[in-house]
Amino acid sequence: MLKFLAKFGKLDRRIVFALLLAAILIPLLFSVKSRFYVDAATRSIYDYVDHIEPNGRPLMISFDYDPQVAAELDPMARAVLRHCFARGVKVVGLSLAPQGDAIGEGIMTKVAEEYGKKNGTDYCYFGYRPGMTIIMLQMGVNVKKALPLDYYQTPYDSLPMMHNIHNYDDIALVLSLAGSTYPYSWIIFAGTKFKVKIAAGQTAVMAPDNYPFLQTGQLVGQLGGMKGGAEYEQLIVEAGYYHKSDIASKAMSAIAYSHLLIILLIILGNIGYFISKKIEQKK
Amino acid sequence: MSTNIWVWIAALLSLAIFSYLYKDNPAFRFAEHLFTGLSVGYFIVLYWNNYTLPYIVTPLANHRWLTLIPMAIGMMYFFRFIPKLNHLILIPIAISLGFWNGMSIPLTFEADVLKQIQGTMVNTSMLTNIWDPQKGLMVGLLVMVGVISTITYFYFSREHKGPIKVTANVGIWFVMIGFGATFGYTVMARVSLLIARMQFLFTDWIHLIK
Repeated sequence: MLKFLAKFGKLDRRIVFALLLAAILIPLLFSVKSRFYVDAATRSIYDYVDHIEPNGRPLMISFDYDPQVAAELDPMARAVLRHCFARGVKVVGLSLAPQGDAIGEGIMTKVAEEYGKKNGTDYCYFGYRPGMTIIMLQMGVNVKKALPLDYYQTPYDSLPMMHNIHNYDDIALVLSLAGSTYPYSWIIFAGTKFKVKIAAGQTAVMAPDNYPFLQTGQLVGQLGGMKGGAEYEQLIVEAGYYHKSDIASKAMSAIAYSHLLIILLIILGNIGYFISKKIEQKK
Repeated sequence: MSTNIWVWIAALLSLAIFSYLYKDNPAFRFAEHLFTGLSVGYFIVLYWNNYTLPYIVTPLANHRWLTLIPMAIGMMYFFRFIPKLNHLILIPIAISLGFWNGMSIPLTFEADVLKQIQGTMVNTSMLTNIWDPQKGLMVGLLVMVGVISTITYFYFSREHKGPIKVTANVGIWFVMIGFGATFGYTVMARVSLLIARMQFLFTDWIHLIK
């Protein structure tokens, strides 16, 4: 028994990969459902968006991420957009990360189609704007100067939805979806200077960094990793804004089982390490 | 099975990347180089369309000659390659640094230092609901103890003995809990990426997951 346990201290990494693959695939293939609670940080964003006046000040979504982290952030973007379009909240989209340009356009167009929303009147997408902090600061003074043309090269003045939007005072909330420190820059250059409300959708790797800003209220709320997306999906389904759970909710059981496996392997690995150390000492 | 050629290409490239889990091989290296090449091509087009065209070519075509000044300052970075004029790159660096510091120091100080100090303080509003998991007194005290003990651990100007040692040891526990939370989140991030790939392969490619 001890010799068997000692083997866990030197387990071949390929066995770990195979076990992890099984822990992920089995729940996905057999549609195993797991329960998960909704975090206060997610509910906070949901409640804020739920109180934005329909056809009033728009929500601004900044697609500040690359394809590498799209798996975690796409579900958040879709869920928040569905929530907005179902309630008649207008949306302004842009990207401050070069590769977020096409990602944002694809998601906004697809979700807008689901709800029959029109570009220019119900939503606008401005694509990638270079200069990050400069754009954040410029929008506080003059949005038109920062975003003169939309993604399809339509001039700002030809977009009916943008006629009443001059600066951050006319934006209800800025939601930055990012795999790096973009939300931090939004907090500093838009939130602190112009007092616009900021929310973050972050990859799980980056999410812990934002907790100090949640505690101080500098962030309205945060969606953390795929769980954040799943929580938002659950909230909009429960409220009747969307009819079925989407990709992130389906992934939650795979996440739960894979985490259990990793915890088990860490415990067994430690036991194996100490046992093999003792066996070596006896020799 | 999907009939879309792009889904097949994406699926085969995904498998090529996954093959590295077994060991390094030509299929993995092909996918890796293809990704690098595509990224470079994408960035060249994007930077041309989003930087060069709107900020240099179009203004100059419209006879806005003042554009030449920032353009010339930017071009000074290339003096790096001319040894005799190497020192001139200090000009654009100085302008960038000066602009960035002037712009960010006051705001960063307010957002990062003042607000965070404020967030660490225990205040009377916390007394209204002592056990509130978000804004209660107990959370306030926990944050205060955590911050003070963690800072004590990173205070190296005095030897850690007596009360400082006790406080620093408490700080280590807070740091460890923080690392644990970060590790948990990191595991979730990596697993999420793998799940998304599996969802793509088994849903979009071979239609095994409904």
